[in-house]
Formats: sequence, C-alpha cells, structure tokens
Amino acid sequence: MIKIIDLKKYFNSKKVLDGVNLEIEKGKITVIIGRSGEGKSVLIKHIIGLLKPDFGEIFLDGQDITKMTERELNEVHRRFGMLFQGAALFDSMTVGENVAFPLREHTEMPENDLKNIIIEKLRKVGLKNVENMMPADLSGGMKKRVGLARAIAMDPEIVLFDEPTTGLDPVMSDNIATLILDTQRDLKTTYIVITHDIPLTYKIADKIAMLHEGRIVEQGDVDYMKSSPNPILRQFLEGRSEGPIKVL
Amino acid sequence: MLKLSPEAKVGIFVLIGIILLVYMSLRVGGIQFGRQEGYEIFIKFDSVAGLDKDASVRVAGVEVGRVQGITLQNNKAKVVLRISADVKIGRDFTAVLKTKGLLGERYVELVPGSPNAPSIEPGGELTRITTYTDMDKLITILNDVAVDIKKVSGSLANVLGGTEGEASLKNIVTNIEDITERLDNIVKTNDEKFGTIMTNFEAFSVLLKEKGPEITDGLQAVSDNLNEVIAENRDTLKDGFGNLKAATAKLGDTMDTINKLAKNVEPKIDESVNGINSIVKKIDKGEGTLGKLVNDTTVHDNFNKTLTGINSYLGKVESFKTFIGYRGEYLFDASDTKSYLSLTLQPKADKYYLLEIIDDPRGKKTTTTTDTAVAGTTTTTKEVKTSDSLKFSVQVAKRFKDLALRGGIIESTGGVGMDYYMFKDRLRFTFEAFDFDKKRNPHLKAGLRFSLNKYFFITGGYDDFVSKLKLASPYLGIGFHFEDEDIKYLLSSASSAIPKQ
Amino acid sequence: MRELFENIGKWAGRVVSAAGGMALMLFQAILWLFVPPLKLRNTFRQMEFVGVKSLFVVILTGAFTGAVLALQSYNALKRFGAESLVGPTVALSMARELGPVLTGLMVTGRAGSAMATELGTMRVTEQIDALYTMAVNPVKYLVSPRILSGVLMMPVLAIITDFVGVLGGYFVAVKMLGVNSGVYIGRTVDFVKPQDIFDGLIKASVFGLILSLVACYHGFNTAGGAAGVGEAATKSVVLGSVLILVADYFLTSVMF
Ligand SMILES: Nc1ncnc2c1ncn2[C@@H]1O[C@H](COP(=O)(O)OP(=O)(O)O)[C@@H](O)[C@H]1O
Ligand SMILES: [Mg+2]
Repeated sequence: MIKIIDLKKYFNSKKVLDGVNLEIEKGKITVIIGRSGEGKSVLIKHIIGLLKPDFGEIFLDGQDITKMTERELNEVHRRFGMLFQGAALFDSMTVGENVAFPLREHTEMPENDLKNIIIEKLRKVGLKNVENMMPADLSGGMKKRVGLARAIAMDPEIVLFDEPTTGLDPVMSDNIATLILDTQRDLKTTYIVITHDIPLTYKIADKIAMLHEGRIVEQGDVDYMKSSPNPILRQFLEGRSEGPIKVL
Repeated sequence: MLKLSPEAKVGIFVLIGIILLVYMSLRVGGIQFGRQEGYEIFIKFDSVAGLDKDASVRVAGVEVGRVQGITLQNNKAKVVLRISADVKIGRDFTAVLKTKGLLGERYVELVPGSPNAPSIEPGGELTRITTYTDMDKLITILNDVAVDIKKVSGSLANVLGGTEGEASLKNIVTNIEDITERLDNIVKTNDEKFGTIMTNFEAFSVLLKEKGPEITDGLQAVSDNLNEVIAENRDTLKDGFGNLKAATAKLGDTMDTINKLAKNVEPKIDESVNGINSIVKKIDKGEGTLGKLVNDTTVHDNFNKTLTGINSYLGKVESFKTFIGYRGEYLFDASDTKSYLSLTLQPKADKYYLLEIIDDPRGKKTTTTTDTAVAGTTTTTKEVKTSDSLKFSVQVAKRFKDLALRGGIIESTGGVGMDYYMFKDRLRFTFEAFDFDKKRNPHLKAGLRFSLNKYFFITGGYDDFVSKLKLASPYLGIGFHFEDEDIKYLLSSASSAIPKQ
Repeated sequence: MRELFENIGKWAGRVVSAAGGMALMLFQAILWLFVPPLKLRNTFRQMEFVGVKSLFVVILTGAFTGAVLALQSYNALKRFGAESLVGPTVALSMARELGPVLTGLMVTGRAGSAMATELGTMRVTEQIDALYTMAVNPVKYLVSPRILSGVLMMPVLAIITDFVGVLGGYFVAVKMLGVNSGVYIGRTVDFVKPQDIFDGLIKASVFGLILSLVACYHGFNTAGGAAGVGEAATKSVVLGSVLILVADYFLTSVMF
C-alpha cells in the first residue's frame, strides 16, 4: 500500500534519514522501532506529507505523495488519521469538539448524528462523559485516547501513531495497546506505529522495522525479529547499553 | 449577567464605532451645503493662493456658503461661491480673501456695502474686490501713504514756490549761514586754548611715564598749568560768551524775517491748510487707504512697532553716549567713605573715556618739614598732612567682547585696569593697579560690581590689598549712573513741574 | 572576519526569508478568504478577542493621551496666547497620529503577543500539524480570521480612541485649565476635517494588518518548545511595533 524508496532527509547539514526503504502492507500493523532522536517522527511526517524529502519517493497506491500539490495532498489526508506524540488536541475546544472537528470540517452531518458519533468513538477508546471537558483537564493517557478517537473519527484507511505509549504507566500502555488492536480489528485499517516500547511492539506488530542511523537495518514479523542475530537489533530489543549502538 | 455570543459582542462593538465615526465626521464636517441648496455667484480674483475648494464664505464672520470651485479664466482665478438661499449679497459688497486665526485656513469674506444696493442675482458676478495678504496689505497702504505725502508736499511747494517765497527762503538760509559762521568763530578761538591744554596734558603724561616717584610734583604742575590756562583764557571765554549773545540777537532778527515771510504767504498757506483740512476730514471718515490706516488700530500698532524698531536701529548706529555717575565705597578698615564722581564719554560701543574726580578720605599721607626762622632760631615743624584727598582719573578704555582694558591716570597716578563682564553685563569683575611705588608696593584693587537696574549698582571688594602701609581694606559700596538722555528727561520733567510765570 | 560576513549573510537571509514568508502568508490568507466556507466562527472569535477585549486598554490609553496632549499643548500655546488651539491640537493629533498609532501599539502588545503565543503553542504541540493532517488548511483556519479581524477591528478601536482622547483633552482643557468650552469645541470643529479622521482610520486598518500578520508569521514559525513560544511573542511585538511606526511615517507622507 505504501512504498518508501531511498528516502533521504537532512536538517541543515544534519543527516536524519539516509536512504530509508520500507514497504507497508494494507490492513496490517507495521511498527517502526528505533532510539529516540533517530528520526522516527521525521519519517512518519514524510508519509503524511508534513515534510518534503530531500531525496527519494513515497508511493501511496502507486502515487508519489512527495510530488503532490497541496490540493491533492488535501484529498489524501482525508484517508489518513494521525495520533501525535503529545496527542495535539486543540486546547481551545472541548473534548467533544476535538473529536467532532474533522467531521464538522468535512461533512454536513447534522448535530444529532454528530453527537452520537462522538459518544461512540469516545466509548471505543474507553471514555465516557468527557465530551464537555477541556483537554487541559485530562491526564496523559486520556489525552492519548481522545487523540485516538479523533484520529479514527473519519474512519480513515491509514492511521499513524507517533509513540502512543510514551510517558504512560505500563498498565495504561497495555490498555492503549489493546485499544489499538481493537480499533484495527474491526475495519482492518492499515496502522503504522512508531515507538521504542518493546512490549507494545510485540503485542501489536504484524511487521517490525528497525530504524537505525537513518536506515532500516532489519525488518520482518515478530518471530523473525525475535530470532534475528543482528547485533544492533539484539541490543535494542534486549535493552542493553553495551553493543554496536553508541550511547552519546 | 447576560451571556452574549462573540458575534453579538462584536456587533455591538462595531455599532458603537460606526456611531462615533458618523457623529464625529458630521460634527467636524460642519453644515454641508447641498448641491441643490442656495445659489451660485462668482468672483474673479487676481490670485487665490491658499484658498481651497469648500472653504467657507462669510459675511460679518458668519458662514453663509462655501467655495464651490476654483477655475482659471483669462489668467484670473474664477471662484464660484455657493451662497445659502436666505442670504442676499448686494452688488456693492466687497470680496476679501482672509485668513482664519493666526495660522488658519483661507476663506472669502464678503464685506457689506450700503443697505439699499440691489442684490446680485444667481449666477451673477461680484466685481468689487480687495486682494491682499497681510504683507501685501501693508505695502499697498504704504504706497498710498507715499502718494498722499507727495500731494501734501506738492501743495506746500506751491505755497513756498514763486519769486516771493524764494526770496524769503534765501533770507532764511543767509541768516542761518551767518549764525553758523559765528558759532564756528567762537569754537575756533577757543580751539587754540584747548590746544594748549592738550599740550600740557601731553607733557604731563610724558612726565608720568618718565618720572614715577615725581608724579605727584608733576601733577601739581599740571593743576597749576590748568589754573593758568583758565586764567589766561578768561578774556577769550568772555569774548566767546559775548559772541554767543550776539548770535542769539541775530536769531531774533531771523525770526522776525520769517514772521514777515509768513505774513506774505499767509493766503497761500490758508489755501493749503484748507486742502490739508479736507484730507484730514476724509481720513477721519475713514475714506481712502490712509483713512483706513489711521483708523485701523492694528495697522497703527504695527506702524508704531516698526518705528520703534527703526529707532533702535538708528540708535545703535549713533551710539555716542555720555554717562554721569557717582559711587560711594565704604572702606571698613578706614571707617570712611571714598566717593567717585564720573563722566564717561563713549563714542563707540567698544570704546570709552572715563573721567573721574575722587574724594579719598585717606588721601596720601605726606610729611612736610617746615623750617621757620624766627628771630635767628630755626624751628623745624614736622607736619603729617593728609593731602590730595581730591584726586582725579583720566582713562581710555577699549572693550574686547567680555573684557575691557583701560589705562591712563588712576587716582592722580599712572595705572591700568581691566573689567570682565558677565551675565549680559550685569556683573562686572574689576581689577586696577596704580601708584606704582617700590617702597609701598603698587595700589591694587579688586572687586565686583552688580547692576541692580539700569541706573543703580552695588559694588564690593578689596582695596589696596598688597599695601605696605597697612591700608588694605575690604569695601562695600553703592552707586548710580545716568545716560545724558535720562538726565535730559529728568530735567525736562522737573522743569515742567515748575509752574511757568 | 569571515565569521562576521557569514553572520551578516545569515542575518540578511533571515530578513529576506521573513519578508518573503510574511508576503506569502498574507497572499495565502487573502486567497483563502475567498474560498468558501468562510471560517465565520473563528473570525468572530478573533474579532471579539482583538476588538471587544482591547476596549478597556484602548479607552484608558486614549483618555490619558488626550489629557496629556491638552496639558502639554496648553502650556506651549499659552505663550502665544493661542489657548484656543488646544482643541484642534488634541483632536488632530489624536485623529491623524496618536489614535491609530497608540491603538496599534496597544493592540500589538495585547492581542499580537497573544496571537503569536497561541499559534506558537499550537505549532510546538503539533496542533497545526494536526490541522494539516485532518485536511484543514491551517492558514485558512488560523491566519485568515486573525488578519481579517485585525484589519476590521483596528479602525473601530481607533475611532473609539480618537473620541475618548478628545473627551480627555476636553476634560483637562475645559474643566481643569479653564479654556472656554465653546471655543474648545468650535476651534476643533473649525480645524479638523472628516478626511483627517478617515485617513487615521485607514492607517489603523493597515496597522491591524501589520500586527496580525507579524504575529501569525512568528507564531506559525515557532520552533524550540516553550522558550520558542516566548521568543515568538517577543519578536512579534517588537517587529510589529517597529513596522507600525515605519508604516505610519510612509502613510503620513502619502496622506497628508
Ligand atoms: N524541523 C526540524 N528541524 C531541524 N531538526 C529536526 C526537525 N525535526 C526533527 N529534527 C531532528 O531530527 C532528528 C530526529 O527527530 P525525531 O524524528 O523527532 O526523533 P524521534 O525518532 O525521537 O521521533 C532529531 O535529532 C531532531 O533534532
Ligand atoms: Mg518522535
């Protein structure tokens, strides 16, 4: 469904992505792992067109999104949902308005139906009676869940997750992992998750790709990755500070 | 409290803004004269510099319309006025371009004429115009004045013209010539004597220079000389006064001649007086420009100011001034007052001659030894005399900006001095050195002088402060000085206070 | 030495790119105004924020400025016996210069900085990115309403400042300094033309454009977390104020 070919991105002279090649299958959960600051968010922002690459292509159903006009990208965006690292809820709006936002912007849905959808989506992420709260009054986990509700409000084909569990306690992390699986299972949506949370990865991934020094160093299903002898992957998955990955 | 939506709040807010805007621009815009209201008349001006479209049109200061438009027609400015319908503009109204306030805008003032004159019909022209800016106005008036003066002098010329007048004038001139000649003679005769005085003075100053310690003697000689000069010239002076008397008598004769002349030309003078009278009457009525000039107080005031200005300018050129002054300085150590009577002759602003007579209580202590031989025995009397209590100074001074240097005779001896002026001449620092004598040290004096007003000043300082005779003393004094003009004024007012007999 | 030139080059580059960025943003914002649907709700919210909520500070500023103007010009004009010109001095200064300029500066300080902070926060918390990924154009949604409200609300605020300023001047001149009230109003009406007020309002409108555009630009281009947000607010106030004063000079030279 999505094919990333030799993607390169530099900030000033700093090399962040150095030739990423990755294929993302339709209806699967692809987890991209890597250390903090490796460029995972940069990669995901390229997929949704927020950043333009210095080199390389990203094909979505055969169309290169890096060469699209704003108008075409706008159309593509309707097929996407995204959960940001900090949830990125609009803090001038209530929780309900946040979830309803994409619907209000893109559909002529009557207010009553809208209300029902809000309640339904919030219920899907395990929230009740929070529609009239402001984002500032929510906990980190609740914010993430509202963000997820908003990301899936339009029933998108592809949902991107930027570190959905970072900053959450293990119980909440597991809850989020369950939510991701639950929401994906219904519609067989394509999910792309970037994280450095290994338990989450093992729990949800259909495919894992490891990003290291600007490249995908290893990819495969959970079993393959678990048994791969690649020292970089081993060090990362086992969480050791000694090894080929240099701690700066 | 009523909860308003953002839309409602913004709506109310904008409404307030619009109301304020409409209110303010209507207030400021004044009453608008609509295109349909009123009627148009036009005026042709030579120049309408500074006049704008929509400028106001006023009668007696009341706005009656606006300037509708200004166009150029045959090199003249055609100004179309829109006058409100209820105002009638007479044919004999005069249009004047005026300026509102000190720095204000230009507007058209229509000055009413007689109440019976027919009014201008819509579309008609107002032909009577007075154009001037304030400066132009003044120049125009001055021109007219010049013409009037010419006329007056012309009629006077007529009166004094003719053979008869000419003869009388000749007579007058001859008489005046005579008088001048005599005066000249008087001066000439006395000139010689003055010459002698000056020669003596010269010798005296040479003496001063050469013989420091003998100066006192020299001065003695000078005063003797002066006395002699006066004695010698006593007769000549008498002659001079005689001549003056004669001259006065002749003046009397001259006056007679003039009187006679006047009688001869009396009828003609009458005529011209009549002429002047009629002019004056016209002026009084305010007719003609001169009339306006006389009747317009602002012009009058301007004129006065101008004259004052000119006077002050001339005054600066003719700056010959004479001052008479007096000051008394109380010497603390001597417990007595030293008085100065001074005459300042100032031919130029930066140069003056200072003549002073000084009454010094300490004078100069001289010891006189008198040998008296009485019947073979010689008695030697030693007498300590405070002589020369009366001294004089003659100095030349030159001023360089704030510093004046002077020198000459100071207190009957040679000396120099300097004055430093501060605060626009109100404060003066003075230093003098004179009576150079090795034994006693020179007489040094330093002090300050502060002018209280034009006439009075106070002074203070230290006198003779390096004296070996222990004459050093602080002093404090007060004084005054008058310019000759002030004196004249004082005298005349004093004399006018005395009833005439 | 080389470093110096490099720094100058960088600085020049930043100035040029800022100017270009602002021009582009203005262009887009104007373009998006004509693409329906118009974000009316956002626009009214911004109008309320820029206009209604600035009312108090603007009234305060206007009243005291008028009062000070009256006091100062009275002292100066008294020497020429021209106390009657206090009214026109106050009214003309307010209408042509001080009304628009002071309102502009106050609104820059109040609303401009708030705009930059809000947009800056939205940028660093990825809310702007979120808008974009939800197929909502951030310029249309955030920038156009703000610029529009700046352009529309500034003249309203300026006319209120003018009015309150004249009132303040009137109070000081007439009630405190004893200038004749009829003379004060009469001279004011004589000297001030409607055009003076209108020109002042046009200025105010331009200032509204400047301050909202500068604030939006800096907010949009915030980087570096909370510190970056603060910096964006500061920059937008400084640049906004400076540009208002510079623009005032040119507008004045064109208008009067
Ligand atoms: N807009 C940007 N400008 C400059 N550098 C950036 C920008 N975005 C990301 N980077 C840099 O790229 C690197 C990767 O960042 P990021 O993708 O956020 O890491 P992570 O893998 O933790 O998500 C970081 O070193 C960051 O400093
Ligand atoms: Mg990241």
